[in-house]
Amino acid sequence: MPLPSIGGGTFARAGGPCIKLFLHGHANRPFFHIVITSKFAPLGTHPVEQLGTYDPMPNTENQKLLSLNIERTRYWMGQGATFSNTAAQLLGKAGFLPIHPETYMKAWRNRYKVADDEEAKKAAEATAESGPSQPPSSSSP
Amino acid sequence: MSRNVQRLGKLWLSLKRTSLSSSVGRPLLGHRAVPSIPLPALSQGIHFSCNQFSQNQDSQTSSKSQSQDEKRIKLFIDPEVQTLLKELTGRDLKRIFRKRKIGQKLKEPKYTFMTEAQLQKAREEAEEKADKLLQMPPVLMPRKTIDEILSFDPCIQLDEVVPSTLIFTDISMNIKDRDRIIVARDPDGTLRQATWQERDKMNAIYFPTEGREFIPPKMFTQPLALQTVLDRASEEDNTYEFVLDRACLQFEPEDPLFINAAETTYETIDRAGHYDFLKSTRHYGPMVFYLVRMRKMDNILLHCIKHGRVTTDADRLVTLFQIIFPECKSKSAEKTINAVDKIKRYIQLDAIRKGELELALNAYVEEEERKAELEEGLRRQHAM
Repeated sequence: MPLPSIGGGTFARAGGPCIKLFLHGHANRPFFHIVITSKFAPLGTHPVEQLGTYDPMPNTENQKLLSLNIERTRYWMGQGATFSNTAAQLLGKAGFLPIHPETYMKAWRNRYKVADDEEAKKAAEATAESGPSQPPSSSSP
Repeated sequence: MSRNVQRLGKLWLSLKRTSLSSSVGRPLLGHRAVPSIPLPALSQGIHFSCNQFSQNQDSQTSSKSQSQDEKRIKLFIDPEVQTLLKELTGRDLKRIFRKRKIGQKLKEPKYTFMTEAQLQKAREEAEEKADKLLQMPPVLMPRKTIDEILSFDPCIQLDEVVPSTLIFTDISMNIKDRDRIIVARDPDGTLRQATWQERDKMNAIYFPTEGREFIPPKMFTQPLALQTVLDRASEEDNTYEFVLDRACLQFEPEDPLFINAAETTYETIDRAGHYDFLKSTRHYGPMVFYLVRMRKMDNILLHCIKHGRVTTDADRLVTLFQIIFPECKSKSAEKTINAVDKIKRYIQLDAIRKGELELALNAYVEEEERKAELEEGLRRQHAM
């Protein structure tokens, strides 16, 4: 039985090495291994090597734990490994890679949505207050 | 989309490094006016040696007394001080190699016939092993808090709907725990070096040490618990040794929790007078060093004089005091001075419990004179 963390998988002909998040864990409890596999390998394939772990569920101190064997990761980067989207985003947040543009996009969209919701709520409150005394005013400035 | 942005006008973005909750609803800047904060270079940003957290840095303490204390603590590794502490500790091999109930499997004693040379070799090996067992845990200044920001990127605020801190640990092999790269990304976008608490936890998760608990025992986190344990100390239980060994196993020597536990133990021993409980163990040296450094030497000095260890332990204690406090009054210019005279000088000039010490010393001197007379008399009798 090939053991992932000390090698044992192989690279497919096309694709090359890729650093991805490999889902382990159980029902309603995800846990990821950060592994190096072939880029187009099916999802359950044995990876070549395990480089780290990522726990997406925050612990009691509201921390998400990410570990990475930087030495080995840099070796694989030297061998031409690429990163999957989520792996690159995660490592960008961690400071190992530059922050991924999708992180900025996601953050902007979330902030926009929160601001939008706040505005809608304020408008609703304004109309509720002015409702009994006056006819509802137009909400658009 | 941009029209909506301009219409809303409060795409809030906190440029201050505060927690996310306090930055909600605070309109600071429009989206386009966010200044670009330069990111650190990829290879230099986090490949940062943690050596600056070691004790070798010059202290930046403002108060004079703190820097004096630091100088005295640094004297622990002075060769003279180390020699004195080792001599004070004693080397009772029977006590060093006694059976200890620490959960290890018992081995049957082996009896062999040996020549003189083999016996001598075995003795030397035992001495070497005793040296190892008596190696003192270092006395260091408490470690300074880590407060370093690597980067600040407010534009990633709220990239997850429920924000949390991301702790990143480098699990490369063959790196010491204190050199390992451990950084944290806060929800407000700050990338910082992890605090000591976070570092300890991460090292415990990814590289656990045997015997070190993940959650520190209550006796070290609750002050009352430790005091309860120490108050019912007894010689058979080796309570003080147990507490100090457990602290050594659990913490690093610069950890404030370790220093606190050790100093509380030493204070309890000083109050109860149980100095000899730690004799011939590796904790005796640091205990004596602490008592001398805090000017609480007189109790242990009295103890030594009362037990007749004047030319040995008491003399060494006074010498140690004069090294740690070079500005003391009792330091004499003469190189060779009698032990009793040296201690007398100390009692007269620097001691706090002058009366009791003088009485004890005089009692000792009289006792020695009487013994000398008795021996002289016996010698004359036998000669005749």
